[in-house]
Amino acid sequence: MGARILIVDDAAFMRMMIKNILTSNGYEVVGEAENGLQAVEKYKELKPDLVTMDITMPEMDGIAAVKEIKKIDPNARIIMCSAMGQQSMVIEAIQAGAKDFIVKPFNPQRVLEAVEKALS
Amino acid sequence: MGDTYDTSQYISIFLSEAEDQLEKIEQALLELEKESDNKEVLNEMFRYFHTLKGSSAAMGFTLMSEVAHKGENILDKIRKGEMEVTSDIVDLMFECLDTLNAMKDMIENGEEPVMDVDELLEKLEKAASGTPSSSTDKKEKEEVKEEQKEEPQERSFEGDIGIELNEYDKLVLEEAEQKGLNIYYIEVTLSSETLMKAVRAFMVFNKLKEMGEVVKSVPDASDLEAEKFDRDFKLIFISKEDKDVVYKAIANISEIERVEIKPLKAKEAISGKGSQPLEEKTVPKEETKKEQDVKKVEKTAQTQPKAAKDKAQAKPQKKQEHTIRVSIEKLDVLLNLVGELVIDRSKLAQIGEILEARYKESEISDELRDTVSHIERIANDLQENIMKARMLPIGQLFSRFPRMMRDLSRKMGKKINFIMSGEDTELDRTVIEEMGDLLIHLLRNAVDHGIEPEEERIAKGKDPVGTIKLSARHEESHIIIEIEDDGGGIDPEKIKEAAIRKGFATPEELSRLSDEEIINFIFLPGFSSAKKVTDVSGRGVGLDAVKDGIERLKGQIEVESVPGKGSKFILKLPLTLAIIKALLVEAINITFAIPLISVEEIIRIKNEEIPSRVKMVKGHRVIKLRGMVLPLVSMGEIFDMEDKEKDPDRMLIVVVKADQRKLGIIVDELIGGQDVVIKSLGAYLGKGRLFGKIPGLAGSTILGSGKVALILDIATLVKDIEKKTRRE
Repeated sequence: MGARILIVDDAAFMRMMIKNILTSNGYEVVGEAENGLQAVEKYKELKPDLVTMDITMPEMDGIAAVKEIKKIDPNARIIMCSAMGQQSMVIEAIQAGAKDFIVKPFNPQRVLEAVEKALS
Repeated sequence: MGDTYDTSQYISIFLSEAEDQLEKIEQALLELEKESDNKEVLNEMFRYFHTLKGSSAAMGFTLMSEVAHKGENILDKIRKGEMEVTSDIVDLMFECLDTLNAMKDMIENGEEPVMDVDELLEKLEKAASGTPSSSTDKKEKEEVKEEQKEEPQERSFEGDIGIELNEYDKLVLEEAEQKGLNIYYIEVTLSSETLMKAVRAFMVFNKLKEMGEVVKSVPDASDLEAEKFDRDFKLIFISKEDKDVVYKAIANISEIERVEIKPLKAKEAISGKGSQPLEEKTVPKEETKKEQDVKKVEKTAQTQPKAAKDKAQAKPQKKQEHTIRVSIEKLDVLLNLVGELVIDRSKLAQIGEILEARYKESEISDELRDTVSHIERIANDLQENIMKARMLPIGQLFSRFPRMMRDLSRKMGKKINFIMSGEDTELDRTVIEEMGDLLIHLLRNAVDHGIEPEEERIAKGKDPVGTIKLSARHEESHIIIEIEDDGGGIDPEKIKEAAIRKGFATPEELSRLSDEEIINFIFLPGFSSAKKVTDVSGRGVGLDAVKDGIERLKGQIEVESVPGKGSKFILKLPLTLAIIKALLVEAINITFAIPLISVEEIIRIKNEEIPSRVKMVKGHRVIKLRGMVLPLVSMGEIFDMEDKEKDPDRMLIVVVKADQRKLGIIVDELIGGQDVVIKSLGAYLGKGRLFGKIPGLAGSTILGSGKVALILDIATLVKDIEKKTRRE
């Protein structure tokens, strides 16, 4: 427990949702990023244990960000946050090395399951 | 602070999704009623109930989730062929849908979706368990329920593995065994809440690919990709890894409820447990198919992982609409800003012209002209695109009508075939919102007054089933909505009778009117030709209210009717309320904008012809136009101002039409056609219905020159003139 997590999402309320779920279950949210570029920068800076990554974002989308982060750290653990109907993008992200995905709107149980499994 | 904000944001997503799902369920139900064995529709509806159950539970709306769950159970039973689709079941599902809708509405209104659903739940449960009696056998029911629950998990792994293998597979398996690799039969069940099942299946494939080769899957890769499976799929997998390693790898993927792995011997897989016994190899039919099979299998077997990879490439080829939700207010603000921009654009163009005239030789004026024309193009595109963003397909509105018509036809005992077309016709959101009630009224009217009772139709030799058509289409910058029935039509004689009886007109007056004009009496306030008042069409709010509503939307309504054959109501509406196409004219030193929708034609009369063509009737000027008498009015007369007739060498008349009645408006100058942005006249001038203080004005607009132009309200003008001439 107590893993350090970076949350990436362009919507503040979505970040808040995930943050609430994670922190109330003993995880530490070490940073937030609102686009892919920031995510890559923060990843370098913070070296988190896990990243939750939104797909559709300005500047750099989540899939490109996964690819970049994987270049920096092939062992990076990333969970994609997807909306319904983004199947093909989720698949692309998983091919790029994302560990798992969760679908919005988030079910806290699912979020926690994904996080636990990704960290194990 | 963040917390409350978050929840409300969350709720709005939930609500808009729920609304969508409930709408889809309704459509599916209506289809199911027509076609009870449509598996696709059934599955689709099941999925919606399922999603709704999940999301409402996630939001903490347990009661809503329970109702959805019970509905889902019934659909599941139907899906499995354990239950038949009867009209009672459809009714019950509708009831279920209504309750869900009511709960959704409560949430929308900020209430807790708590209501008494015990009765409904019991009915649903009864229906699902198939036992007609009530509470006495509750225990039994519970047992039944438990059995259902157990069933899927209990599916025996022993025995037939149900995977069909053919020559190539067998070869691969035998080879693998020779190399000392392990062959596994794997059954995977996804958790019932799984979203994006295809992706989960892909993840399983992806994981297995790292450790070996998937020889075969049931359903095959393309079906898995298309989510054509319930929750389970089966695989034959070759790997050098131990069973436990494989198990752990799969089990560690999220939302996997169950994994079963069984090592197989090649022989076992091929003969003993395979559903295609060895003997069958000798069946000639199989032999002929072999070649074909091998080819197909080559593809599947070798490319199993690749097939999965292909998903990523294959999917984007499908047309995907990327959307975001934007609040309507934001769009309204944008539109307003564009409106301002459009005004400045014209202003800039005028300044450009002046400068150009003043500094003809200067290069800078050329540049200015180029820039102005560029800005003009951009402003036009911007305006057009924002208008488009505000557009919605009218199908959003139409979608609720099939259900309503079904209920109405049941209630009235009239069989009706309801046909809709042009659902993807787009028009402004505000117009769509306002149209809802009006269309409901007209449709009810068609069922109630239009379509005759079945016996009457049979007696007349008509199809006992009535037809009502609702259609929408674009015509230039308008949308035309038609409601057509093949009922009794409107009898002008009956209208005449009623008009005299109710004191709307004298027989003498009526004799001067055409049938078309007589039929239009139905739009007069207080005029209802129905002898009987039914609770469907009701009393009081009649077609006059519909007409009022449509005029408020700057639209027009007309009716065409053939006695005995049916009626057609034709609605002509602007695509938007924010911008109208107008004819700019000048009179009494003021610029007026006449909505182009009402302009029929423009007539010029030379001065010398005036005495011969313009006559005075009861103190009013009229003109004979193609055999019809057209009343004339000047702007001065309309607004009680002095006409400054500048002794023109001709008289300019703009002929406008509203309510089947024409009117000629005398103007001094024609300026031209232009898109104008409608600005309200404000509370002071615009007090009361339709700008009560100054009848005849619909609003104002600012022109490029900065001048204000007044937009005429033709419908009230025509009415006013009519009243005046009648009085005298």
